[in-house]
Amino acid sequence: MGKPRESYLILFRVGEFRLAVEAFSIQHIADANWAPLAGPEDEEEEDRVVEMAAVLKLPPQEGKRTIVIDTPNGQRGFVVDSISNEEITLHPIEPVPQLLQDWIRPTAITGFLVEQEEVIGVVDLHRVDEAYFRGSQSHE
Amino acid sequence: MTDETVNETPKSPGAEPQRLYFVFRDGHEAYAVPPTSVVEVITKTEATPVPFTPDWLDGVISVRGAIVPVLDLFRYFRLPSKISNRRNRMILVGVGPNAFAIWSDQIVGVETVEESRLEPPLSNLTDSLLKCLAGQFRMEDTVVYCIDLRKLLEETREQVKTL
Amino acid sequence: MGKLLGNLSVKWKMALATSLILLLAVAAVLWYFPRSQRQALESGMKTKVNTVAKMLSWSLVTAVDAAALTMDVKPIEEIITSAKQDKDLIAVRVEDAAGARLAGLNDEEINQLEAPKVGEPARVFFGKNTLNVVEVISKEEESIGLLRMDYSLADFLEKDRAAWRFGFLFALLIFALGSLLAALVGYRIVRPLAVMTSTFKRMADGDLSQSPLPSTGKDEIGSLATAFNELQTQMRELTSKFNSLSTTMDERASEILSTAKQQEAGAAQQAATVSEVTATMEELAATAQQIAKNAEAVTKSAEDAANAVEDGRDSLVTFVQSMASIESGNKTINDNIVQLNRHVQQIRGIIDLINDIADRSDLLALNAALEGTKAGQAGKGFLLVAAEMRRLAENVFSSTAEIKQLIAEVTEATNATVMATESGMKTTREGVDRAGEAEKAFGRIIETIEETTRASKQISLATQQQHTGTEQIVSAMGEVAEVSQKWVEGIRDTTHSVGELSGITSQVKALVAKYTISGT
Repeated sequence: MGKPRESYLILFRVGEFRLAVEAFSIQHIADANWAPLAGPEDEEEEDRVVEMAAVLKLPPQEGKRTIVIDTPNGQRGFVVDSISNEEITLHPIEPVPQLLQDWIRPTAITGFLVEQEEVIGVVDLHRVDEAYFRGSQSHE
Repeated sequence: MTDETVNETPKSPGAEPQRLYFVFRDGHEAYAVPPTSVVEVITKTEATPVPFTPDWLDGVISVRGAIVPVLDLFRYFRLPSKISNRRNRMILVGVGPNAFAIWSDQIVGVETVEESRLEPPLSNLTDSLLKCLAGQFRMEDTVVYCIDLRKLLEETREQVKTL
Repeated sequence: MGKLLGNLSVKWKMALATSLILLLAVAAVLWYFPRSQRQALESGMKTKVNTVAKMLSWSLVTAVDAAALTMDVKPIEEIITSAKQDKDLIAVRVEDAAGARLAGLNDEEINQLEAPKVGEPARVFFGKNTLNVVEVISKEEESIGLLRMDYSLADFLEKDRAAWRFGFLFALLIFALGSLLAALVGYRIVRPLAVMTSTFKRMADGDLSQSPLPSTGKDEIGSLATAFNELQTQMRELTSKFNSLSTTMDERASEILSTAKQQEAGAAQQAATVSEVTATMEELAATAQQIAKNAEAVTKSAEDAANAVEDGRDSLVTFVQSMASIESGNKTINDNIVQLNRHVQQIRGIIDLINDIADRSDLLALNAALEGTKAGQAGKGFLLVAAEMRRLAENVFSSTAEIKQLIAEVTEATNATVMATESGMKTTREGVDRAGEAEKAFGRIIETIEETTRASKQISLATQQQHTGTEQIVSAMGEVAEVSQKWVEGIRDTTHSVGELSGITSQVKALVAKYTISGT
């Protein structure tokens, strides 16, 4: 195992979960009232906004921020509780052990940020989008 | 590399074959694994939850920088009794290149078990426990389940695929 | 006549009343005293002459009887002579039963009263100068003669006159003493009142530096003096508080004014620098649509905020005015509380707006930092500054939370106001203190805005040093420039509002200048 890779991370909270997303993978961050600029004609605007709490099988939370990604079908926004107030800095990312990878479905965790006693999962929102909203199962 | 056969003690001529087991409790149940599988015992009471994982995966912990998943046997085996509320230990086990941790609230120790002591599993056990059982024996009044760790991992992978 | 009496000094009023009473007393004395004297004298005399007449008539019985027989009147004359020893007796006559003179002395013009019957007492008559008496001389129930006597009343009359004189003098003495006493008492009451009146006059004219009035005891005058002293103390307190409030407001207003002027200059300078940099990077395309959309929203909110802050200032000014009118008692406390609550509601709305802007600024900074990470090396400076802006947004949040807390306290204080003047004053002072604290918090927000524009300037400097930049940076820069432009306008409006605030303060000061307090 070589030196773990580094990436700029944005940390956020959904309910009890503290998670992270890589800065280069998202388009921008909006407030809770975000709506997309334009989407495919057969979809309602509401479908483009996803409650992260629902995805994580949590009860509805009071989301204050929307993380927006660019997908082949247009923009998609994921509503989270809050963005942490730290600066956006580089963090080393540990890869997911193989065994654990076998247990994560969909395979939307791409690594971990180890912080003292907490282990923060780095989420790939594009994989989440593929798995939940485009009907295709994500395989290893 | 761990090998289950290594827990057999050398046979003295005419003596019964014996096995060594590392025994620990979790709530109402007692489990036994080959001692060579046990990497270490750590004192911890919490794991960080990970999204997109089944409910029997409590989360992950960090052990000297490495990320280790924590398995909740009570939830995985879907046992009918009550979950332990005194869990304060994790048994860190290695199976091939894989490492994971199992909850425990009491370490019993290493037990030498003669072949004759091993019983076939009872039929009133849950399905998922039955699939991973390598046998069972008694210590005083308690039934101790011998867990085949390799089988356990296979079964978990299968279960996840069907989720 | 009534008006004339009304304007008369209290001591003369009292003297007049007393004199009237005394006159009545005097009249009564004059009526009663000589009259009773005279009556006493009269009855005294009556008794005396009755007795004398009786005695004489008895002693004359034998003599008169004998004279009827012997014609010898000598014994009668002897008796008459002995009776004449009484100086007052001026004439005596003894008559026989037929009315003929038997003997007498000086009796040429003696009285001719009708004789009483036997058994009846002597007949006595008070003439002008004489007292006339006629008595029956009787023997064995039969009248044998008459005794006539005339007494001089000169002595009597002399005594009568003396009684009158005495009575008069007595009355005069009473009158004189009584008037003197009344005048003294009146003077003792009137003088302290006169002193107090002039003291009150001076206080009404604005002199609150007078020494306290001596309290002369627990009577009405003393209580009045004590009450005056209390009033003066209260008015001093009130006026000095007013003074310090207007001084503080003055200082605050000039502070904010000079700070705002500095900000204006600095912000204008920075805005110019930013537009220079933007111009040189014109060849790079701008594609970050979402950032642009957010920045637009922030700009719009900043415009709203510029107006809202002005409203906030107005509310604060009106708030202070309401406070002033409570102090001067022009409105009822209830009216002011209603107004107060309205202003508080307005300010709450403004706070929410400011919080919204801070939130949007936070987002803007976050996305700017995000773009910075994608820009690689060029974006490093961006990241630092963006983090700074986000910290500043946090400051704004805590300031507004503070203001909300202060407003809640003010609302609580005013809603719990009791109708008594003292409680009302205390609440007003508290409210004024809170207003001062709210102003401080507003000041901090302005400071934060100043720092934000400084941060924008740093962004422009950081990008000046880079040779390459991304389209997103340019776009973001442009939007930041617009935002800071709006802040400059907002600051100008703040300056204007503060000028108004100074004007109000001057008015308050003029109001208070009328009163002088010793030592200030």
